[in-house]
Amino acid sequence: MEKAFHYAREALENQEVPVGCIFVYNSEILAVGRNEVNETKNATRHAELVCVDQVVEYSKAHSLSSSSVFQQVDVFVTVEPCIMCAAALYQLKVRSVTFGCKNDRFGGSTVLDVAKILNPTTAITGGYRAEEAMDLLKQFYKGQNPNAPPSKVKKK
Amino acid sequence: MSNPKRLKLDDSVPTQTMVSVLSDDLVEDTPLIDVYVDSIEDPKNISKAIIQLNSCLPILELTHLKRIKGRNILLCPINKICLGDVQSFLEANKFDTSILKNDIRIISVAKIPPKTRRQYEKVNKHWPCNFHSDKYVEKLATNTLFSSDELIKHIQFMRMAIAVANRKEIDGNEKNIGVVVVDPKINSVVSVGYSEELINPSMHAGMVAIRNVAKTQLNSSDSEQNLAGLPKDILLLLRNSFSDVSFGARPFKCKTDLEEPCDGPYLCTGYYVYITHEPCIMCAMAFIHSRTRFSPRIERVDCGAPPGERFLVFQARIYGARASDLQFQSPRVTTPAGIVGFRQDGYILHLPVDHSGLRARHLALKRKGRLRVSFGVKWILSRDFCKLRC
Ligand SMILES: [Zn+2]
Ligand SMILES: [Zn+2]
Repeated sequence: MEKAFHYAREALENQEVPVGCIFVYNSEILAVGRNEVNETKNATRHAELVCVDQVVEYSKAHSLSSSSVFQQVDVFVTVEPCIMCAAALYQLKVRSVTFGCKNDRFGGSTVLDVAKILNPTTAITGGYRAEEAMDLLKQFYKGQNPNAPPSKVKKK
Repeated sequence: MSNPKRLKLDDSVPTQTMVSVLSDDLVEDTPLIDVYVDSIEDPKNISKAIIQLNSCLPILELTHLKRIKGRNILLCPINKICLGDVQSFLEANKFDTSILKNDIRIISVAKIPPKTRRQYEKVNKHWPCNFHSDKYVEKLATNTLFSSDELIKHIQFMRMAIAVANRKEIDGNEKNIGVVVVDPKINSVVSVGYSEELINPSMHAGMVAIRNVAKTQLNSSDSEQNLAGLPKDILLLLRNSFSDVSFGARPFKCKTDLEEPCDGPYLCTGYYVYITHEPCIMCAMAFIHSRTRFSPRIERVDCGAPPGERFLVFQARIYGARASDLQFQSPRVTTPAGIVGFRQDGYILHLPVDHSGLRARHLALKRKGRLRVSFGVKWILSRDFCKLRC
């Protein structure tokens, strides 16, 4: 989990939403990621999906089927996966997800209970070092997201 | 999915058959509530009765209702007082009951304000009520949101999505799902999406479409029409079959280079998405993260089940800024929500939109001084959602 926080801090330094994530497979860290939305101009490049791509690469390099690798992956992420990522992780059938603070805006359990819809095999637990993760988010949102355009509604 | 079923959009289907798919609260009749009413002997006493009643028996939950209908006066919901006690309650509260006929009856009236004109007209017959028409909702409810020109465009882009799904080059084991992303400002196809799940199980067609949009913004070429979001073979295919459509994204500019920052492409802001299948939760949320304006979809309806019921009507509902949302001040503002659809014989297209409700909510919160952050999105999903294929 400390590793996950490391990447969250790195995201913050790079003016990205500070979410860090690691995927553990056979007690080894298989993938590490942080949000890359702004630098890739792709709103789906959340830390979790960045890690997913690394697992795919790893599986290919080791001639493994990625779907069987995913089923033995444990995910550690500083913030509750959003609806999109929760759905992705459940669809990939990762073994477990452990997260830090809740995600009140887009959370895949808090805002919409994705698990209720997808009936996943994945075990999900939260609240681990939640305050620390929340502090990082607060730091980020204190400054404006530099890449987002000013809101139209606010302008009026 | 070897030997995938071919998708098609019937040329002969008249555009007028497209139907909005609305949330239940707009489709169903306004819920009713039982209330006591009495009549007034002398019409001269009507205003006196209203004034007295409003002070001794105000009904805060039914302020959308008029107090009077002809000579009949609305007393209160029946759950407040027993029928036998109404008279004595009024007297105890200094209401001059002599002006009433003392002919208390129970009738059903609108429990909440009607949301559409149709609901209003129905419920207004029970008892007169106030109605504030929302133009946008009304267009949805009456299927007049799009002009026939717009409908033709939507259908054309949907055909294109189907062409992407059906293209021959596709690996037979890959799902045949097609996505077309359009910049409506320049009426041009920005990117396409197709399943790459065999390579990467998370690369659904929707995710590929979004990634391809990102390509147009990363390779900032100076050319007027950036084609980075369109693989060459697909571009060729589409150009051959849709000769009158333009392709390519507007040149991407950094925020600092823009005179009108709201204008510049940012993620997929304002783009329209046409997708042949209902997006799964991941892809649907990915579109919302990407701020697409709306995404119609098309899907075959199996015979047997009534079309309206077989389809998800997933709907992003907005809830205002709660205390917890205020913890961080996000610069983000609106997220598309709601849903419209089309129904054409065997097909339905959905467009998640809803600017009206959102805007109303936004303004209401702003007025109260409570709005400092964006909205969260709450998804209300039908049972069918989990069965979808994207
Ligand atoms: Zn996410
Ligand atoms: Zn999907």
